[in-house]
Amino acid sequence: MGALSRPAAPRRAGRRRARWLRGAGIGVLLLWSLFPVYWALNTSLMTNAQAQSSPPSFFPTHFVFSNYEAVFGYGPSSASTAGGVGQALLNSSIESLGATLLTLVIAVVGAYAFARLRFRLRGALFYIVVATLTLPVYATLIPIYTILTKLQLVNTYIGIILVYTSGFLPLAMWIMYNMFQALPASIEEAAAIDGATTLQIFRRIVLPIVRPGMAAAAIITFLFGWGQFIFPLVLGSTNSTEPLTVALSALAGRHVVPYTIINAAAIVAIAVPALIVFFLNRYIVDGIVAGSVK
Amino acid sequence: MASIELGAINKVYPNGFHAVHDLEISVADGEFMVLVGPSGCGKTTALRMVAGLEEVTTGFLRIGDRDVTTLPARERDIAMVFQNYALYPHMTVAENIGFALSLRRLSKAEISRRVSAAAEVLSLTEWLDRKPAQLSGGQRQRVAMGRAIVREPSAFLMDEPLSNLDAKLRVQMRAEVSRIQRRLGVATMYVTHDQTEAMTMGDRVAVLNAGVLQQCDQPQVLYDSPDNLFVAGFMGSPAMNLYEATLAPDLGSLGLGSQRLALPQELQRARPGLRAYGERRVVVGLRPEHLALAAGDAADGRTLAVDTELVEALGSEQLLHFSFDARRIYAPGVDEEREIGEAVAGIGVARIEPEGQLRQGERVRLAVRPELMHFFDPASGLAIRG
Repeated sequence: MGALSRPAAPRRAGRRRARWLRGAGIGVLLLWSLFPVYWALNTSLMTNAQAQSSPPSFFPTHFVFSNYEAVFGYGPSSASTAGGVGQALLNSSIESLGATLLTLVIAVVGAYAFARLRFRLRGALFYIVVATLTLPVYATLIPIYTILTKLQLVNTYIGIILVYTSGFLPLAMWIMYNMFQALPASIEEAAAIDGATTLQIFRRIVLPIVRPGMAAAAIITFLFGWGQFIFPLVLGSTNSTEPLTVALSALAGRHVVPYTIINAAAIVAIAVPALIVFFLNRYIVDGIVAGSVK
Repeated sequence: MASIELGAINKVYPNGFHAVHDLEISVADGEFMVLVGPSGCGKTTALRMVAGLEEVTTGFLRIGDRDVTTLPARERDIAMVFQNYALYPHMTVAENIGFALSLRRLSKAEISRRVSAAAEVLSLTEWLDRKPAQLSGGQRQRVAMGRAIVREPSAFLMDEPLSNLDAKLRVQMRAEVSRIQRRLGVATMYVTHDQTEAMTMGDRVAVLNAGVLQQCDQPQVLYDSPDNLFVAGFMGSPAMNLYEATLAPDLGSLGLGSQRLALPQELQRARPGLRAYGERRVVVGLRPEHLALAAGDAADGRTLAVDTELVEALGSEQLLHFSFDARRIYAPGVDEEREIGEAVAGIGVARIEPEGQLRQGERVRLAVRPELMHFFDPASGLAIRG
């Protein structure tokens, strides 16, 4: 017994060291990615004077919320932002949600057709659609701008939503395609034999089953939309369609805007995707994994 | 309730593959018809055509007195059990079973009454609120059955419904499916590649090979008098031993390898067709249970000397795997690893009494009963009878 247990001690020590190393690695990564966010949050809760003090303070000594009030156009410092952030928040929401909705509808119907219907060039068409994922954004920026100008859709919600949809559709379609591929055809055949019409099969059998994939596609599309910068910068050059990302960068250059207010606006911009990922992360993972398991 | 009739059905796929050739089968009202054959023989395609999941290229299909050849699946009034069960994963057991009824807009009370009745028959009552993912394989299989019987359809179609179950459960469900089918008295087409299922469940069995119907009859008839080499080799486990043999000019004896078996006069009377084969080669078939260990070791024309290769003791019997110098014939299509009609060293199996121990390599004599032998034409593979 004694002889047997002897090697266990160094092994346990080795395991402890490995665990410590892993913890340290994760700690460095977290620090790397989260510290800027923390710094923005920290600054957003300080007065301008405090934020510019030297040495910098790592914690706000007393919390100041006036920066957030200013972001939304209230309080004494609101003049500096011209209330633009509130409008930008609305713009971001309309554009991201609109693009998400449109993308989802087209992705579900399109992917179902690609997965289930037999038609000429089906495989080739599908791969062309998905292959557009590899196109660099900047390659399409100018042509898209030209097209939208001709359609008189520059600086409109519809224009931006259409552009987002064209960009996000391939990934959403790919996710949905994998969901439909993983769904055995016999389930739909069973429903047909049970007496369901094609529409009933789609609504009552197929859609409920692929709901996790739809959730994943929707969340990913929304997050992409929320984070867009270069397209809305070029395609929506006025306050009326400018999303948060563009408004934020404009804040820095437009007037003399206090550093603290810019950081408060940044925290507002981060909060939405952060909350989504925090609460809906499960659906993203479920939806993407769903096709591969079993 | 109704009969099912397949009239000269052909299925040719767009790529030119001819999956089913002139298939003629009729299933009487209440009859249990099994379609059996090796994988790729067209049995599932045939079933899917009856279900309306696959188009019929030529021929006609009737269920009851309706021609359903071009009717969509949902209008055929049939129920089908799939090999993978195809349960709706997002619905509870009760919703799965009741789905067809809800599509017909029956009242909630009526649906619930019929679902409960079906669940009762299948001992599923306590699982009605579960989702399929929470059930065992056997329970899922029963839900699939429940979904079929609750409809009270004109016909049942079953596509290898038991092949995903473990061996013990399969035997149990075999009996249960038969029991339910008899109780409901609905015409049933049941597809399987398992000849034991075919033998035990079918009122009649249709044997298919390469899209062609080989023989369709009661299981015992298929077993006792197969029409051709394929049916002979396919039905029965262990399979029939088939060897190339030469008949003497007067049909009085048969050469099997270097040994001779005497043939009685009665055999010629029973199978006049044999007369054309004097001095010619035939294929003889010996069922494993028609061979028995014989005493003595002298060649007497009624026994074959063989070498013991392997003995499998099954408790109630032993399977004696043996070899001798006759040319073994494999039925085309049955044993897929073999070349068609390929002859190899004369191995075979005998089903013998459990008493006594044989050693590998030991030479024994097997008694053969000529009246139970099967004869086939080596060229056409057809049985030689009368």
